[in-house]
Amino acid sequence: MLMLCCTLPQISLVWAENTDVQDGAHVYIQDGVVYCDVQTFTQEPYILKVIGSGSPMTVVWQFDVVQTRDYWLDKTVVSVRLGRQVIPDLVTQRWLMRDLSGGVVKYTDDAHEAMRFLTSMEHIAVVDVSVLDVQQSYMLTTTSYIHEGEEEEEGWWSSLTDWGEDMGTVALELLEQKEDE
Amino acid sequence: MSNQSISQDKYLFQMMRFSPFTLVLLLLVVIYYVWPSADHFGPTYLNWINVGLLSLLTMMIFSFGIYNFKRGKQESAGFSLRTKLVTAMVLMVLLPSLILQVTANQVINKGFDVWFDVRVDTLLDKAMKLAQGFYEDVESEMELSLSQVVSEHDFPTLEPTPLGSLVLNQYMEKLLHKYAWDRLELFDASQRLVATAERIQSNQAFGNVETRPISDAGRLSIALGRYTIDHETRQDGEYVIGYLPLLAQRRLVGLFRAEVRLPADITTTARSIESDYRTYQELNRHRQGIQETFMHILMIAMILVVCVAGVFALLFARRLTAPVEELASALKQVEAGDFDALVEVDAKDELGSLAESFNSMIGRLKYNMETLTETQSELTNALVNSRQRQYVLENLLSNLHSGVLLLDASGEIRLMNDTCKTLLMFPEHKEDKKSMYDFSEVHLKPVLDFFETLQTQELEDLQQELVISYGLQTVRILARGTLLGGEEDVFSGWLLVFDDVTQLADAQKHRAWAEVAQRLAHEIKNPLTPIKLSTERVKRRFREQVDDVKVFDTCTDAVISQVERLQRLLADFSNLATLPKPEMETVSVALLLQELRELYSPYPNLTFEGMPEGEVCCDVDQIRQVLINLIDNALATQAQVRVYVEVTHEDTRFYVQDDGPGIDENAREHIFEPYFSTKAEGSGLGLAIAQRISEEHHGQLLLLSAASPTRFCMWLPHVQPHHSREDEA
Repeated sequence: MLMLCCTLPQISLVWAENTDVQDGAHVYIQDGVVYCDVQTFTQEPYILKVIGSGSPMTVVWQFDVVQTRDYWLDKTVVSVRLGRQVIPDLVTQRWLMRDLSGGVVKYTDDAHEAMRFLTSMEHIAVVDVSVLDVQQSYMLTTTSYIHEGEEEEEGWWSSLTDWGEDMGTVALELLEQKEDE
Repeated sequence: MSNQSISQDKYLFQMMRFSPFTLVLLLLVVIYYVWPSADHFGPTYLNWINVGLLSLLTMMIFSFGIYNFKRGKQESAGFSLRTKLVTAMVLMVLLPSLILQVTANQVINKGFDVWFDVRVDTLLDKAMKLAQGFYEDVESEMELSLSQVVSEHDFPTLEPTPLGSLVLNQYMEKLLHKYAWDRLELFDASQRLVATAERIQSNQAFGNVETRPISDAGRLSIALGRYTIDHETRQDGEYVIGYLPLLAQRRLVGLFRAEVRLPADITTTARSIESDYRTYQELNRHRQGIQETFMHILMIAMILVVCVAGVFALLFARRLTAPVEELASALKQVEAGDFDALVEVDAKDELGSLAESFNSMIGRLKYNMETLTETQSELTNALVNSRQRQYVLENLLSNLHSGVLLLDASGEIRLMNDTCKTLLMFPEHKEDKKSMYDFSEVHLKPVLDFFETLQTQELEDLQQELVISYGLQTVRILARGTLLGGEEDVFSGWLLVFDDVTQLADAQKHRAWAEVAQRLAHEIKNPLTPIKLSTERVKRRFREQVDDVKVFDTCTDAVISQVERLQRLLADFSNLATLPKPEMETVSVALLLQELRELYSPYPNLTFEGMPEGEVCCDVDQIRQVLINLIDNALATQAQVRVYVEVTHEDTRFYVQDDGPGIDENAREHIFEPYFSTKAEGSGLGLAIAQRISEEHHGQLLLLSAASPTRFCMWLPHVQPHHSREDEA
């Protein structure tokens, strides 16, 4: 368990990274915003094989900040869902990289770059610190939903059957810090 | 059906009771494997349909198993048959379905191996390489053209040539024709289109040109200051586009964009190859999932078939076993004694016929049972009456003083009371006699002879007096036999009745002898006295007058002595006839013996052995007379005589033994009869009187040994039986 501390003008954010999964999420605060970097290593060969064989691939990343409650189900505070897609063009040997959230489209002639486009998310703004309460425990959970094809959802039952892959859970706790410290 | 077969059936039924749970476990394993995996290709609804159907089937089988288990414990009638039918029918469907499923899986696997053959893979790779090579060639040609344009000596620097001038237009047309481009556009530094040169197609109208923005590749070309190649797909086809920046002293003054339209037929083919290649790779990558899809479809079909077959089997088995169950239930009611259990006859088939036969059988059985119950009641009453009569008869027979023996025609004993056993003196240690021919003892021979006489001579009745001697006892029995029934009667046999007439015979004999004695005494005794007196008178008066005194004396003395002997004889007869009743008193045995010892002290050959303590209840004068009689008889043998006594709790036994020559066989049989004597001077009444006295004391006088040494025994009981008034009378 890694314990880090970041000093802010008035409050501190303490978080812990859960390292019991092979793929991990990294959380940090910048300008009062909680950012997250996440990358999956276990799916890289599979994704490279799929996009190398010409099949489109879509990866949806979901970042959930939930309030920890001991006596009832956890309560979700923030849920961010971002999607990325790669559409191969085998004839011209180019891969179209599309950010489903921002609409940015870009071609690359390197399959590994397209694979990294899908398998890593960097500097993702998850939640503003002001949204979180002091002295309250939170959990930041990162989940990836990987499926072949250009369509993101298959149906209403997909949420029941596709539970995604847990990419890591980080405990968040805001501590009030005096200015003289 | 043998016990082994029944046990096998029970074992099979027990196995079948647990088979649903085994099947449930198997289905759960199948559900686990059917559950869609994370890397499943394609839609997963088939998996979910299978999971749903399998879950439904599992629940049905589990419910059936629970129901089966509960009913099996209750051993419901017909349930075993129903379970067997359902199981058999489901198996009849399930086994072919499973075989079909396995076969189809094998066929699918083989098919996939054919579809995804290495040659197909290689062919598609080559086709893909060919398509990619075509695009690469076009791009390479574009790159080569652009590089040649840069290296040409007349490449315009654009410094002296204003944009849009005729020279520039001619130069662009020259390039268009030289490198076979389809379109060439010139942009200024602000990326505005300033000139266009285009190859006019045969069916293209002049001036129908579109202005397109600069792509990322173009901007990259501007940034790098060198040519770049791009590829665009438009509605009218695909294009290879080359960007070439125009530099003047390292400053961008313009940008060429050259386009080559790819042949539509080739691009279509290339895209088709790409599509096929992608599809093939997807299929190849998900061949496992596709196989599973086929398997799921087959499994759905199999499950539906099995479910439908199971439902039909259940309905059919229920319809088939319901009458059997009803019959079995009715049979159980009949077994419990309820003969009103009838079965409804609904069908006309074999089961209906069976139900009719069952109802008919139950009707007859009910009638027979009612008749049987009535008969049983009557028999019970008759048996009770018979037992009552038997009880009365047995009590009557047991209280009879006569012995009763009932024999059947074959001589088997049907009835014998205890008095008969006592009278005939059956040995106690022997088993009960079952037949007349079991009377094998010596003392019972007269009884057997009596029966054989009755049987062989076919007499209707017979009466005889039998003498039975057993041990020290001799009894006289009056036996009467009567033939019972005839050939047509239910029972035929003989009834033998035995009465103890010993005392009666003795009494009659004594009474006869007493009458004889009284008559003799009356007729003979009276003349004897005058004869004796006259003879004595004659002797006194005429003795002096006779010639031969000696002869006279001898004659007169003989007359007188014989008269005296006759008088003594008559006195004995008189005693025998008028023997008084004994006056009982308790006497010391030792004292009695002492008196006798003193009386016979002169006789040295007489010894009294022992002096036992004890008392005997008797008339001492009579007993003394008996003992004197016995001792006198013994002393008459001139041999050694012994007298000894045994006193027990029950009786006293006086023994007189002599070492004389003994008594011969003929004399032995009559020795106790009156007027029988082996002595010339004896009256023959001594032993008769002694026996009479012993019997009057309810004892006996016995000759234990006739041969030497001769031994007599007088047995006297200590307890005198009470005489009834009839006996005294």
